[in-house]
Amino acid sequence: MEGKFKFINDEQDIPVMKLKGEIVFENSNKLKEAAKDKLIEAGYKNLIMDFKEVSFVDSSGIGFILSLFKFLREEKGELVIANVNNKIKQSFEITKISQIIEIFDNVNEASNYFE
Amino acid sequence: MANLLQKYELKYDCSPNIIKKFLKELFSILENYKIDIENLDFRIELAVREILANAVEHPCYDKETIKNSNKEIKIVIKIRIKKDQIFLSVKDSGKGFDWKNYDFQKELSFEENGRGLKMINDVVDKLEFNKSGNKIKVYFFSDKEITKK
Repeated sequence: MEGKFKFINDEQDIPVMKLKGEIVFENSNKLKEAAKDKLIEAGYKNLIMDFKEVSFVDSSGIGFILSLFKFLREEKGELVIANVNNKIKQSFEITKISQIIEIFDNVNEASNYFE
Repeated sequence: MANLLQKYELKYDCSPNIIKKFLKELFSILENYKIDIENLDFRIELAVREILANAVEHPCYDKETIKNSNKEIKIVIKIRIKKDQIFLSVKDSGKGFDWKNYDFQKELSFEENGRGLKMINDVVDKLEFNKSGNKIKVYFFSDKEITKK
């Protein structure tokens, strides 16, 4: 499934980036550029990445996440992650990404983190 | 080799599309066997994705490789299903890389690239390269005998 994302910021205080499909070698660069453009355009500082509809993340996907994490950190903001499945959790553990990015069970918990 | 149940050899053109294509082929092959290797689906999928991303990324877009290649650049994948292991090898027509000086225990970093080989190393039971580094071999060992369904 092709990787896609959309931003939702209607009811939430913190914008949520809803990702869909796989975040992998075949699409991660394209996603990264598109996501950064959107972040710049909207001026978001904090962001919740919602992985509920993401099935797999490889090392390029990890690079995509870190790229946005570093981008927001430079803007004095923060990126957190919600709703990861077991496979993605394992990729995060191998790369130790969970030691630098907060990961929550769902978007509500992630949203509470910013309060 | 009495241990060998079946062997396969697949050749692909240099394109990112082969990753999904090969994964589909691999899982349809594995479905024919009774395999009890812990967490195999995730481990083999991650290893294959990382190996093929490397195989496609470097030689397919390296101008020198393309210029010096007399024939079409191919990626050759071999699969061996044995009673005690699943073996995969992937050879590309690129110039390879210096795997002897690669840090497979690489710790946490903020770099966006360079994690693929570490991830492969973490999910396979054994990892080998040929001398020039354009062929990678990975093994998944099984304590319980692998049999045909």
